[in-house]
Amino acid sequence: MRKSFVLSIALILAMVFMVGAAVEAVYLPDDFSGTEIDVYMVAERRAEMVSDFKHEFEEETGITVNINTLPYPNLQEVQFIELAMGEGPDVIHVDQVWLGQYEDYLEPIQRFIDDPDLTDKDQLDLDDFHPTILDLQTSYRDELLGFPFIGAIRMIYYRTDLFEEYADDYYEETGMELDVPDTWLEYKEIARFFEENVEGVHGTTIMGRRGVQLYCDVMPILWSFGGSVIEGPEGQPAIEEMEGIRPNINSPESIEALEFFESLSDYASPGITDWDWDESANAFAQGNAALAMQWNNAAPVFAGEDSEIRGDWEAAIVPGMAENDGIIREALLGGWTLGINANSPNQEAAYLFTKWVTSKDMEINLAPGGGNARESTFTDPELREEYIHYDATFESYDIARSRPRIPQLTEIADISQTAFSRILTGDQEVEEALNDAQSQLEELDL
Amino acid sequence: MDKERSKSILNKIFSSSIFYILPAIIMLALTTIFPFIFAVYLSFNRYDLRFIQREGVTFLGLTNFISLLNSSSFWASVETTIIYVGGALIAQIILGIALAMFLDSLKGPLQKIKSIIFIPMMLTPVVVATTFRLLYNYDFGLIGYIIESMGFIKFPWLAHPFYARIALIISDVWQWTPLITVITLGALQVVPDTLLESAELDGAGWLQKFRYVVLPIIMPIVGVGILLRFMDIVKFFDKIYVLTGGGPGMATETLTYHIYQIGFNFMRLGRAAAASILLLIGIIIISMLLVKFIVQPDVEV
Repeated sequence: MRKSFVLSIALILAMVFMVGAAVEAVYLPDDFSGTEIDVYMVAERRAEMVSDFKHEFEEETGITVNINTLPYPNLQEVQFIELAMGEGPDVIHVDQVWLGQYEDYLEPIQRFIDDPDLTDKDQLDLDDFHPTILDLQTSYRDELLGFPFIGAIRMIYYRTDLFEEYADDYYEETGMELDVPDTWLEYKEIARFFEENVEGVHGTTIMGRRGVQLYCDVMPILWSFGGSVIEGPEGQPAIEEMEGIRPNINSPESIEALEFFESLSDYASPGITDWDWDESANAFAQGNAALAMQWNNAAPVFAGEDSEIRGDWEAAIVPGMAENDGIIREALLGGWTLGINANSPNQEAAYLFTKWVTSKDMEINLAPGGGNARESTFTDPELREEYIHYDATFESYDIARSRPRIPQLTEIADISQTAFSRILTGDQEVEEALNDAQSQLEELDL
Repeated sequence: MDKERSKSILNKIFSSSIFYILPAIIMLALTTIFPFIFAVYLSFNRYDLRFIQREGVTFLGLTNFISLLNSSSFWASVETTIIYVGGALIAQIILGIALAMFLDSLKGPLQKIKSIIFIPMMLTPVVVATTFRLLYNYDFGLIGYIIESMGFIKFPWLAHPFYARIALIISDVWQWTPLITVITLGALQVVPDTLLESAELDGAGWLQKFRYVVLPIIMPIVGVGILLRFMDIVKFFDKIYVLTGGGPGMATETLTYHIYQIGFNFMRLGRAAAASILLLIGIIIISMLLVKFIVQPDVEV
């Protein structure tokens, strides 16, 4: 009697422990109340909008989220130095060109995605993100390092009112239809026409100030001409670190491309050599130019209340160069990864935040902030009506190309930008400037 | 006895000068001396934040210095710095002293102008630079508009290598000339009237009075201001960052901007530290020359 009593007590106790253990295994990861995570984000509209919604996430999970938005240059300095010192916030925001540099500091997220306690794969619907975005914006060496948050890609914009008004004149003068340019040569011809024939309207905008925007203005042209700044050992694009990367900025193709770029600048305001993103976007919004080479994130400026061209513009994919069997178009890709600090003690909470902020619902909520990444958002009928650049943006991802995502890119880009700036201001001839840049690039430790 | 003794020790401590400057020394050690020693350490090493996780820190000896001295962009930035310092400093000295002489000669209620002159100095450099950036803008800037309305052809200030340098110098001269003016105004109060009167009796003209009487007296004081401005202009950074980003080409990339680029854009802290040590050596040498020839010249009367 007594023996069986003791036994049954022991059995009950054992069962309680086992159940307890089981309960713990199931519920522990879900209990994050009291956890606090720090988030760094670049100071763009989409990131700033998150603060309006984060209470929903906090109520649902019990995680407190502290968001710090930092301007672009400061973000890189503050965030990367903190990470290199073994610190940094739980969630970090990484420009896709920094991925090679941040690789060691980002926690690959596949294991969180595969964890059914953390992820409902149907709800996440990873395939909803454009494959190019997942590949070039958030993965490095085939490893997913975060979710895409703020997408950026190069497009062109044109003035529908001017195109309509001058269609006949253009046909008379050139014998061609005035339509969305498919090649850079057509683009330049249209720019020339408006520069020469329409008072107060320049042909195109160019972001000519020495800086990263100038680099992004030149590259789609340079690539479609067949040139490159640096390349792999077999001349392939060097989008990741690889053996045998070499500079090749003074190839005949690059020289031809920069000569074209310089001649294109004749059909822009003489002030463009000082233009950055702001000046360029505002100039087009004020009706300064018939065409604009810009990012998808300039569209809200053109559609905004202060715009003089509301309703009179459209977006299109970048032109290219005709090759035997079609047109080679190269839409330069930008955009950001929202990733998890590999040293963070709160990785799971951090993951839940990144998953939530890039979820389908949040994509819709944050649409006014621009930079979506999901097909479901780009094809949403209501949103498409309001944001007329969605089609061109989504289509651009099919022809996207990334800059080399290697740690030395900033230095490579700076040398290139300086050369491009010298060419634009007439300080140096194209070939001389590119030869100088080539020898400086060769000095780098690639 | 013991009490006496401890009292005398306390007295000794309190009466020694070290005790009173100790807080300052500690502050200095933390904010200046330690970072300086660390910078020297960095400059002899490959301390590249981009690769520090994988490759760590390696001792390089003088490699950083040698590769800098062989780099064309380093020398281009040195050249820009010299042009910039020379242009801005000379303009500020001449304008500052002239302005002070003018203000000093004002009588009555007009003297109130003096305080207005100092307003630019109170502004944050970034605010000044942002304002100038808008003023210089080719398409809608005020300066271009005025030039055009006077019948001249406007030109892109910040977009041309030569004008961009001028534009930067103008913005700095606008903001910092008042410093030289303040110091000169103070120094002018020291010049004894009797000396000026006797010079006048000797038949000295305005220029001679200035050259042989006023200038030798005020120069040691104004020299300190010049020295301060010199060190400040060499370290000039914020206006370049806002106005030109070092462009067009390398036209406005001064040594400090170059160091910033290497250090915080390229994350090569070792190389940046080496460049800043070279800059420091340059500043020390030129400062010593300035002290020797301007602040404490052998006074010849």
